[in-house]
Amino acid sequence: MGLFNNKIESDAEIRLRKRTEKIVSVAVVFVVGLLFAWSFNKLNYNWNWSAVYVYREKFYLGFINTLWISFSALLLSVLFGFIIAYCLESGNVLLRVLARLYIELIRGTPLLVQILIFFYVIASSIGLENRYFVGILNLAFFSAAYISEIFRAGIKSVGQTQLESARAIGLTNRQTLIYVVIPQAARVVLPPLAGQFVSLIKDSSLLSIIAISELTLNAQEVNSFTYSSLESYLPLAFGYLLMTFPISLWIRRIERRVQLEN
Amino acid sequence: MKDGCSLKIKIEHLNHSFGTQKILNDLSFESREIKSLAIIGPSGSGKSTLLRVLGGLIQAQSGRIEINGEELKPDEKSLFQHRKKVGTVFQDFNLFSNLNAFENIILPLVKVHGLSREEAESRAQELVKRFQLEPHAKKKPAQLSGGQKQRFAIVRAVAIQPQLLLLDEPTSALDPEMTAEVLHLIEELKSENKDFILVTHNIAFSERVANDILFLSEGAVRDYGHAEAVLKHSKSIEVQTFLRKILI
Repeated sequence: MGLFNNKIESDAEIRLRKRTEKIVSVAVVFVVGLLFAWSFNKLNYNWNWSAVYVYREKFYLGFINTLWISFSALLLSVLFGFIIAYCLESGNVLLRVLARLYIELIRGTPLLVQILIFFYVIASSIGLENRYFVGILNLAFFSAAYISEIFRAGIKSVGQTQLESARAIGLTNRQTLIYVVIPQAARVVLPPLAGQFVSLIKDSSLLSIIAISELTLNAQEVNSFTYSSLESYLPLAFGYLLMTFPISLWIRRIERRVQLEN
Repeated sequence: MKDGCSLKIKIEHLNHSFGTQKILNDLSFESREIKSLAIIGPSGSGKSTLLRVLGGLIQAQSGRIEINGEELKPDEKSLFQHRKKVGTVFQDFNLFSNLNAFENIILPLVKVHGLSREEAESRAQELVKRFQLEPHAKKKPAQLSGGQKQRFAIVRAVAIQPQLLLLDEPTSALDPEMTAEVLHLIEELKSENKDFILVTHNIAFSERVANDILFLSEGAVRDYGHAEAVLKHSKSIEVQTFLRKILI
């Protein structure tokens, strides 16, 4: 182990490392839990879970909405990201400049402002009124700027000789993409892509400012009905963790597989 | 399998530059009817570029090429068709790292040459067996030794039953033992009457497997002829000097 140490471990060493990691994880969770309990206890806070419990349906609804909004945005962002990556590497100078400008603009400005401008200015001027649709598009546009760079790095990671080999055996460009570039780039792309998906899910909370009934908006509403902020926001945090944690586990699985393949 | 000599190459005024660097410099030459040709010469002499032009991978900026009496037309569509008919093996990293060795052989057979999966598998199986590569067929390139990788790469190129095989320094990234494995395989191909053009640093080997030798320097032909004639009795001072230097 170690950042710059690629020592090959024996099976016994791997088993030992995994067992140690498990024990340490449990211990760390326990200690951090205690720390939280202690600080919450010091707060002298008047917990009122029952008031919030009345509105449990809202959390459920918000969770489901966030889930499908994020999922749709995620699919769209992959598509847009691919198109922008293609433009970045295109032979056409106009496409390249536009893609670069797009990325700089999106990455350099707050998502909050983008949502406001996109919804109240751009979408309304072209007659897009469904706020859910606008919100999903907005998230997808935002995420695509990051994803395009991830894709580009992945495609660039495929060696020149691999491409030349593909040409030499007579593959068409499309076949080269399908059978050589995508499978090879996937190994480089998947871990950061999964990380981007986690960000996207959390970023969807900002859609609350255009009154999309996702998890955060619902938690905010429960808070204003009950004046119980912690009881509203703790389940909110837990809800996001419930969506992002499986992705984190998935990233780790992919990374392990990549290690095996190399 | 074809009998007798079938490879004939004619090149007229071939020019190619990368940026300001002239790689092929008005290169002209006409071969006899042969089976195999080795291209030798100092580094940067344009050997690999010439091979890539012959393989349809690079379009030379000017000049005319005939292979076996057929003109190699310099448009992408013709070059694409040409690439399907030749098998090319590079110095290194030929095999696709995402596929195992066996799948590497099958991919072009199915996707480029239209064989059914079963036909492709049986053809690949037969070749893998003949070249004693069976135990390694299911391995990914990363699990193979350099010599095994190159042997599979050659098998992949041979599997499509190419009209011509092009080998670009196939052993220069290998240690001596692995080099021997690969050279042995090339000798076997020679004994099976496959036509090939080989770019190599290995002079002794070029003498053993090639009918003729083409000596390039600074993108032009310095000598061409029967292997022995070029290696032992070249009239070119440059060729003599080069050979003397590397044979010491």
